[in-house]
Amino acid sequence: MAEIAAVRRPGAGFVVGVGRRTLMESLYLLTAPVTAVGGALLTVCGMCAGTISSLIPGGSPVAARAWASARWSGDIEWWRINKVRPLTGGLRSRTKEAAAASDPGLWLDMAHTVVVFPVVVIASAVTGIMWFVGIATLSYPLRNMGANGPLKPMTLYAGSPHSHVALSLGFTTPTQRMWFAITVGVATLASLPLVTRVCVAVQAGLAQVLLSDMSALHRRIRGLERDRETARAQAVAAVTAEAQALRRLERDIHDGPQQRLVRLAMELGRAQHHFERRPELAREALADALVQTREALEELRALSRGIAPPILADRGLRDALGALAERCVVPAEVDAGPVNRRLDAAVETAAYFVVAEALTNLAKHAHAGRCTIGLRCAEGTLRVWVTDDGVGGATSAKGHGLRGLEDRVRALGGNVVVASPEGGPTTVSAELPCR
Amino acid sequence: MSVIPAPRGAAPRRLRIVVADDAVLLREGLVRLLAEDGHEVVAAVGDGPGLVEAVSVYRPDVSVVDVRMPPTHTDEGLRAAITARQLLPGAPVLVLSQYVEASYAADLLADGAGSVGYLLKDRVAKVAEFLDALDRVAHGATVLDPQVVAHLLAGRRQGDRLEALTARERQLLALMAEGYSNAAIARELNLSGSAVEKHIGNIFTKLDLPPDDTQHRRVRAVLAYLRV
Repeated sequence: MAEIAAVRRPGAGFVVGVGRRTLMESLYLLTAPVTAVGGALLTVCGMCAGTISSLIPGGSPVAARAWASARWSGDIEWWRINKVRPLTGGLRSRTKEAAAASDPGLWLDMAHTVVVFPVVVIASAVTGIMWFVGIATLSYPLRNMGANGPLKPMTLYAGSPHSHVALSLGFTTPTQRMWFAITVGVATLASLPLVTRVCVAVQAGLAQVLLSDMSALHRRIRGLERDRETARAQAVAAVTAEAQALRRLERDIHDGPQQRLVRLAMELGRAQHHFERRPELAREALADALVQTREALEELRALSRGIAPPILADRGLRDALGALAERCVVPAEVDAGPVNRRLDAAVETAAYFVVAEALTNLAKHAHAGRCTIGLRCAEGTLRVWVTDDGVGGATSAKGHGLRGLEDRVRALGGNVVVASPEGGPTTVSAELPCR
Repeated sequence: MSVIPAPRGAAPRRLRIVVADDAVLLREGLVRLLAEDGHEVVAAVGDGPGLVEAVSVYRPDVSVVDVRMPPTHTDEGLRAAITARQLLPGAPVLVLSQYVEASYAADLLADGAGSVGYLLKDRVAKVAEFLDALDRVAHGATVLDPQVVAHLLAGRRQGDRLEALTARERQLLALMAEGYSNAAIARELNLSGSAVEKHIGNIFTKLDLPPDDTQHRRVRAVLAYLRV
């Protein structure tokens, strides 16, 4: 308090701190009835407006705004308390989600405006009376400076003039009264920090319970859980894609080069078998063996291209897509935007195979006259697509080659979209994050 | 398989054969190979149901079946062969596979009827041996790929009735499992024909197989050996 703080001595800093705090708290407590009434009005108006506009067709955006405004009083109270007493353990953050009547925070705010009312009235009354008594008694000597001579004995009484309890204090001289007033004033003001602290603690506790938006906390937890599930789904997709790729590779080896080599062995066996007695059959078998050797080599080459296309590793996605276009049986045009750096190998490979698979399917099923291979890389997203002028009706059903690629793309945090209405055209596109 | 002469002195007779393989490449190769050797391929099919149907319609002397066929591309051919043998018990089947799996052999041998072969596909390249194996399966023998035998033996436990057999007898039994005839075993182990007969007799006794049709006892000895 000013009159004590004016005397500078050790511990003065503490006294100044307590004084400033008490002033702030008193200010907070004395203005609380005003903000409580205003807040209650605001909340009630907001809720009424929200209810009414949600009943009107097409009024839902208005309703959302009204629900949001019903929460302003809680925000104001939260801000006010934070000025006098830092709150911990809860957060009251505005979310971007549209406000709704189902938001439990709204109803907790409402409950707060009701519950806090009697507390605010009592706390502000006590604070106000104590300030009044303190200032009035301490200023008594100043106000009665000129008074002299004997006075009537000082009596404290409570009740009406007809029925009261009276306590005679004596103090018939001005000096006695002056000392009494100063004692009472100092005692009152000295106890004020404790009183305001208790009052603020009660109000802050209420706010902590009702206004510290637990629903926001829950939303945050839900968000984190969602993130974790997404990560898990990506991991599962990666494992599935790998398993599928391996199974497919095994099938391709079995159906391709392995068959060729068995047939090659068979023909060589035939040649050996007939060598002596039927040389013409042996010659025929050897000729066939040569064919099988060539075919087996070609199939192995195609297979290695299918595992890790050399051109992709050597010259990047743009050139690799160009090579795909050249090999495609349907005339293909490449529409590639600038790619000014090498992308992540996994992203490049996934994008390449989406295009390769789309072209394979297109060649088999689309009856297309021509197609376009597209590539764009901007704002951290790589987009590739294949569009044809074929008959449409393509799906990425189970067991389809594209299905495995979907898993592969999803594992990288991307997605594959197949748009293929009956009658065409078909567009297969993939978006992949590339940082 | 090493070179095994035909079990009988007579020239191998012309067989009526069903070929089941989904790969046209290999089916064609097999059909030509068999036709050039004077056999008659009565049907060439590409899936399991086709095999079952062809076997029940044509009742071939032997069927050559690829394990992996559509629609599942797993062991379709093997299951079809087993089904066919349920319909026509003892119908001779020679199963070919890119890989040998001991459990596949076990499934095939489970009915104990003999006339079963299970070979790696590459064995076809040794044309004479393949044709011979085919002929022997058609005549009731059990012919297993040496790799299958090795697999089955690798997985077996100790302490069974085979413990009673001497090392030589076990060696003989292994050759029997691979489809060797007595004469071929004699040549392989540098024994006289009568010595082989004697050893085999001992094996039958030790495995507690009462004398009946020799071919049948042979199959049962092999089954005991492979513990199917």
